[in-house]
Amino acid sequence: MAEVRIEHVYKTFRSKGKEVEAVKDLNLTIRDGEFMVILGPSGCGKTTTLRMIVGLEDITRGKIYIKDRAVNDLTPQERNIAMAFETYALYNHLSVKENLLFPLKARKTPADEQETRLHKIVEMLEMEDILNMKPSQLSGGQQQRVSLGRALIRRPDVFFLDEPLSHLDINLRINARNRIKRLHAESMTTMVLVTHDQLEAMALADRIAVMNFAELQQVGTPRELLDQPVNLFVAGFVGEPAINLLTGRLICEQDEIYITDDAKIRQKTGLKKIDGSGQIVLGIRPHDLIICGEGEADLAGQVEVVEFLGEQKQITFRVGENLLTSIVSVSTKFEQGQNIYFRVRNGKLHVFDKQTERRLDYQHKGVSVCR
Amino acid sequence: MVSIKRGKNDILGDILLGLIFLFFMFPIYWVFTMAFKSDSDILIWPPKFIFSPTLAHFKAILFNQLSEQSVGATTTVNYLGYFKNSLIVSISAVLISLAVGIPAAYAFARYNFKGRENLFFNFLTFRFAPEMLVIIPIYLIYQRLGLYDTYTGLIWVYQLITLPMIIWILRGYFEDVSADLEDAGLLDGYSRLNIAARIVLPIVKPGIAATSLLTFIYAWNNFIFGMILGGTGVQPVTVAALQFISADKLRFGDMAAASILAALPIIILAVYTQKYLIRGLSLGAVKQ
Amino acid sequence: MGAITIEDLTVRFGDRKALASVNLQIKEGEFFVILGPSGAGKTTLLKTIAGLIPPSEGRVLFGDNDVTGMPPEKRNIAMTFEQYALYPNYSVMGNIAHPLRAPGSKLEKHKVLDRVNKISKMLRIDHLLDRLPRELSGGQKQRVALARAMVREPYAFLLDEPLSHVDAQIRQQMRVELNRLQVEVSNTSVYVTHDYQEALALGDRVAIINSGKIVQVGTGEEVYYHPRNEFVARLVGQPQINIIPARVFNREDKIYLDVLDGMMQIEPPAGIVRKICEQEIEEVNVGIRAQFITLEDGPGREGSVWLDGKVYIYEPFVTYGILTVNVKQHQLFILTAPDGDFEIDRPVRLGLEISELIYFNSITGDNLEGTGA
Repeated sequence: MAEVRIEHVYKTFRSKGKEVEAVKDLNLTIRDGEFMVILGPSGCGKTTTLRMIVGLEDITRGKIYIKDRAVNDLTPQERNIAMAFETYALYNHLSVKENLLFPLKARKTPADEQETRLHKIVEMLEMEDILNMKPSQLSGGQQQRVSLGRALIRRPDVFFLDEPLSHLDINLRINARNRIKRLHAESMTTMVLVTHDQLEAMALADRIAVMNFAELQQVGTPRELLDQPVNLFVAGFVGEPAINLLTGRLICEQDEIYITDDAKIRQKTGLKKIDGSGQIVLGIRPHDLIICGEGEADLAGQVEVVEFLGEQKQITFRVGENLLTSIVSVSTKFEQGQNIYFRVRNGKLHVFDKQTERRLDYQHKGVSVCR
Repeated sequence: MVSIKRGKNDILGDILLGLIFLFFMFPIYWVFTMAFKSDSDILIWPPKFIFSPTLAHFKAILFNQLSEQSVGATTTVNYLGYFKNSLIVSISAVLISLAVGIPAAYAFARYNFKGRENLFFNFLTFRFAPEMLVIIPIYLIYQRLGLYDTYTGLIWVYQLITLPMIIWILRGYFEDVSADLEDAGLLDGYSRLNIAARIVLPIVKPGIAATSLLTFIYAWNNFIFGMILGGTGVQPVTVAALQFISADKLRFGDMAAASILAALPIIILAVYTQKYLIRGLSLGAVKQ
Repeated sequence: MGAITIEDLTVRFGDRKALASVNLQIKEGEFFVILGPSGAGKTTLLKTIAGLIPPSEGRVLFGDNDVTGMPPEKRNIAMTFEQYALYPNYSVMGNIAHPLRAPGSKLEKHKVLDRVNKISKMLRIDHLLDRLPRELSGGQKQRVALARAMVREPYAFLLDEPLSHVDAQIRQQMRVELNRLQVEVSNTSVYVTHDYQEALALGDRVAIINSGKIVQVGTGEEVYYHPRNEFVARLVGQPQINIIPARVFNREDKIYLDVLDGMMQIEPPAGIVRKICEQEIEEVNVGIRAQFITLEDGPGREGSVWLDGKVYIYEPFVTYGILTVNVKQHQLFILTAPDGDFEIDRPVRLGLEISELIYFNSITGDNLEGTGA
């Protein structure tokens, strides 16, 4: 059971006499065999979190457990974990095979055991052809494979990756991403990856932990983050192109919700009226806007820009003062200035309180029953 | 930002650092105390760590008053005059080097001319060569040209110290300025000279200031050139301290006081501009 | 404002040819995109047009004027740089006004202010005019750089990877904004990028450059659906186009392609067959984009051929999923719905839309369909 538990963890840095909280009251459980991605903008505390788990950074307050063992006072070596480095950190004077066996030799693993593990890793990462080469003779992608192999050959309890793909060009990145995911599926090792790239997080993660301003915002499967973002930050950070946001008011009428300002959207959201001003922010993802006839439209606007992107088309249209984005199929034909009508895919309307920026779904405080 | 746990080894390290500190700081401490001791206290054995301080040496130097122990001395020393010499020679040397060195460094940074790196290295070798190597021929030449014991002569020879340093360091600064900025300026419709004045120079200004300070310090501290090529008329303070070695006795106290006075402007300058200096210098020089 | 013609342009850096006999005709008012991988010569081409790099051979013409020898400050060209190149010692105001205060531009003071205000409102940076560049975010710097270029009425705009250093979401917003600005400011623009989506979305026409040579010039649709060779096909599209090798064989006087040693047989269209015969081609690379491969339960549908493979890995995204399938030693990408459930190593049957296949000469890499340049 290589489960990682983070309980009430804080990290405080002192800089220029001021205390800066890099991580605030973090609670997170990474399940055995899970692929967890920690996602957030730069400076959100994600890398600090990773460095505390692996032991490169002291924990100011709180406890971290790996395999039910508190690791606060253990050195990185004692935690039986592995970490992939951005720069691969291969030994240039050793062949690929020697590089792979290096961690096992260091631990005096029996020779036959070394052979079996080497065989398995080489097969998994398709390295038969390069075993006798030196790192300098390898391409960037191959070097990364060797680096991954060397980390995994000693069977760590948890495998950590800190922005491993950010320096690869786009096509290499897709291959490397693929390989990491496949590696996880085959080895069933618990993996934790840190990134600022939400697309990468979507592609790889079983679950994603979104951080911002040193605090955990939400943990969930990629689907959950898309469909149930807990606040405006998560809604805006996850998803590409970015979610469309409109401000408006909630009006209750016959069990339906009307949101007015520039547009009237009527949809049963199961939402109850909120007290106070009723000011809300409405979120609609670009792909949840479906082109329709005028009669059934939730939104009406004028086309501003149509962009052919190869696999899909992006239409930017104006509704009052707002510019909204929609993603449509390449066969859709629209021109600048044309009227366009959309309906919102059922159940895909996200409503947030304008003041607290929190999602209004359930019976939050300050939400009272309509009627 | 990694916080480190402290153990036994660190304490040992601290002790070692302390010893090294003592080793290097002791001579300075000793000169300092010597300047405030009376002549008899200086020569006493075992040395006195507690003594009644006197300003006699400083008075002697600054106001040309001979301390009572020096009554028999044959030379009087116009110390403030030497101070003026140092200022004139060092500042002029730096200014002339800047006038020549800024365009030169810019050219080294921006233009890819034939033999660039060789020429650049050549400039640096001026700093490699020991001054003693060239001083005799220069002395003879200066005698013939009438440059011996003139400000012009000293300022001229000080270029050996100041110019290579200015070119060497400033090149790094100019290379740090993105060439795109100049291209952007050209496309905005400005001439190269205009761009240099309006954009490039303001950006490297802190670097130029830091480099000037550093070269000024080097120029001020120079000893050999002033000693051989300057007569009593233009000698700098560094050399003047030697005058306290007279035929009959060594005036240790006066020498110590003179050394401190000579070093004082530099120390004040360095302390005052330290942050500026380090930031400015690490900017250009590291990124070669 | 006007047309730019580039004739037989070659630029050498030492022994290396950064540009090799480039010929381009950029029309008046056109938004022209130069797309290529890093090191292909994109920026060199742009700087040669601006006059910042002298060509070794060839000419640059603005309209009918040969400007090859004209210094950059005389060309009346506005350019943005990849790293923005904002003057760090000037405020945003000073940066934007800089071109208007140049010796050649004798604009009255209040007119300078008017222009700066107008352009900064348009780019929504009017609240930042007093700041210094170092106090701005990446996206804001980008807007200031654009404003500095747009404040004048130049002969043409040259834009060097303006969006490559901002985050994905801002990049998309800015791309849309550039597209909207095109409507308002209909100047000739040359835009350099390595991002095919930007190129397709923005360009009236796109020129694809590789190792200093122009490979293809065409509209976004043209380069996407009719790539001139394998290089263009791979550069444009995400996930990358699938390319699988096939051997030409003759059965009963008909030409067939044998894909992946007997995995699949294709009867290519007549035009392709003619090319194969003319050029006596023995091996063909068959390309198919990920969205034209479907998953089949039984035997393939009419008009499609099929391949059997095993799931390598599946990645779900927002609007789509990417399924990677191993067919023998080859890996194919398939675009699927976003909510697929694919266990690794599960066998799958892939249907290939036969009308969407692209055939390349395996030696030269050229598209056998033979598109116009």
